[in-house]
Amino acid sequence: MEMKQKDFNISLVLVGLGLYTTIEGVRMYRKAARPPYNIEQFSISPGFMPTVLGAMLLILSIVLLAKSIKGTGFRTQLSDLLAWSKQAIHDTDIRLMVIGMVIMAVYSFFLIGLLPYWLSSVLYLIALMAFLRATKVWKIILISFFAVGLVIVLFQVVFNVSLP
Amino acid sequence: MVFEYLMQAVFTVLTPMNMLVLFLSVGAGLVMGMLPGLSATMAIALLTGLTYNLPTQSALIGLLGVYVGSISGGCQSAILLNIPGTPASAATALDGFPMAKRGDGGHAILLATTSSALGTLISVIFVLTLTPFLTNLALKFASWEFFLISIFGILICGALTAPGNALKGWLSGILGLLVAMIGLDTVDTFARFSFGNVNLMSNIQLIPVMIGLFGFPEVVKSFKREGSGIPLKVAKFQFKRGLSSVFRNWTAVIRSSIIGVVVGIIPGVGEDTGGWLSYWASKSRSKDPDSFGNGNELGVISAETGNNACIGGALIPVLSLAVPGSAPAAVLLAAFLMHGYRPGPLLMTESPSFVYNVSIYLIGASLMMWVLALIISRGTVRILGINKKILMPVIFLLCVVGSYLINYTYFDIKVMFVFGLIGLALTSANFPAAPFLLGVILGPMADSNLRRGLRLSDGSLLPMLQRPICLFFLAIIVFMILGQTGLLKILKRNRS
Repeated sequence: MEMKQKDFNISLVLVGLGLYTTIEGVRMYRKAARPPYNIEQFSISPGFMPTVLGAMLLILSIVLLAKSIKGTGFRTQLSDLLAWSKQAIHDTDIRLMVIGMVIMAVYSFFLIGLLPYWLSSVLYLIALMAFLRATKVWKIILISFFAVGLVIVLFQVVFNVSLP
Repeated sequence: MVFEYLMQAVFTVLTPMNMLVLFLSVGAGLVMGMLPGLSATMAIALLTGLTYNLPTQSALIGLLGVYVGSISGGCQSAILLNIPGTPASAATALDGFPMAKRGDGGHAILLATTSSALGTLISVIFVLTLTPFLTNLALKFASWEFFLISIFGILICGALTAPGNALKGWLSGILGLLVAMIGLDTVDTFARFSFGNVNLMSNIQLIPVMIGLFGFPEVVKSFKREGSGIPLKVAKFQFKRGLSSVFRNWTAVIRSSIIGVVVGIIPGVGEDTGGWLSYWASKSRSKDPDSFGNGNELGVISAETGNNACIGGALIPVLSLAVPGSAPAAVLLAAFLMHGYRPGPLLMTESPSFVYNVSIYLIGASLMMWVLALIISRGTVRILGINKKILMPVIFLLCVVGSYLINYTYFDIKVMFVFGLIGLALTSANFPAAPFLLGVILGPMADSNLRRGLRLSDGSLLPMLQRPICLFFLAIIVFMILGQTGLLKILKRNRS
């Protein structure tokens, strides 16, 4: 993907974020003006900094958006983005990264809280390395147990800290 | 008193436990530094979480050891593979790789390692002399000055880490500042962007953000398919030849050290710039500039001295102003805070021995690095051959543990993951992550000082314009914004 296209994509997200932050900052100011805070002056309100930052984010991301569509146009960039998304599904590198991240997310968000640390970590390592075809399966299993064992010995035994 | 502090620090380093910590941390730093994709920032970020339960002095030794090790380790892959292990060693590859190709790889590594150690050692002199001076100056700072120096730090970091497009650096900095707004604010304990979540109310922890921003993207990027390079063999060292080469070029060593320290002091400018500028200075002063890029020893010496001298330079503003001079120094600042130190103007009053401890630990780390790097270089080729698809999933295990150990909560692991995704999106669109992190670090300081100042002046910004230091910072900020946006050129053109 071209840098201009990447700038276009990210500036769209940042414009939305800038808008949200500015509105949320004003809402904070209004909320702080009521009891128990009773801060009626905007410049000393807790909403001041978020509003200013939100407005700056909005302005700068609009500048980035304008730069990214210079010479091409908003619609062209948008249709390019849609075309790229369709292509991206078939891109091997992107697929490897996305599925890899899904495995990491499953480990971080669910497995680690559900299973004992050593089991969840071994399962994660086996799953990710097997998916990436890092080496032979028996080597993956051996490396996974060895790595997790090393982490446990280092932290629980040497540093005396409790792991998840 | 100073002598006592220095001696105390020497004895602290020399205890068997701390020597072991130094050995392991410098070794880990060297290995991480030489592996392309594992940056110095990531190395320190990972180790910060792991040092949480260590005694404070051991933790400091470990953190500084990994910093020195990782910046120095990058030269080995730069020389042997033409792939800098860290961006700091990019300039080293220019002459180091041609030297390796003609069979002088071992000699180049000896030159680079010795220059690295000398660069760090010389920078310590500046840490010892400049930090107390800057700290005294910073005692004159009040709320307005602290607010402006935070904004100045983020703006200059944004401008320098996103060359050619300061806008991206500034956007990254603003995003970091917004993250710092999450949770109860320090002035009125008003919950901002918390959505009723208790974890968010107690603010976002810095370490998971840092690990996510710098570690996660490197792990994910390693999943891509890639070709493998063929590492070269390391030829034998000739100590006499190597050391005489370095000492024959002592003027270049001194010059590069000064350049490195100055570059390091500027907020946000990292070791890579120090290396390149030192290289450029030596090349432009050379009688034979054409030999640079074709295996000139002076190129390797200058680049490595310059990037390592940045270590001391980057620590000077951290210690005196709490404004980091480079991305790894920003992470180190967070680590200092985690271990109960409060760098800034009051540091010399609250922890007078700290600056001297850091200086001695840096000397210890650079000496250990010199010995270890030369020993490790025999096995560099083997280390560089580690399959990243095996190494990186294991590195993610350490990211998870490092994030968890800060508060012993699963929430921080999730925070690390979310900021990892943000870091991945930012880096893939060429947004620098350093200003983001600086925003998270300096956000609370900027917010609380601005509002404190405004509260004292009844909401008026006028007092800011009546203070000389504030006017100085404001002038630099306006000048920088005009310069980076091209408005300065337009103004000059209109005037002419």
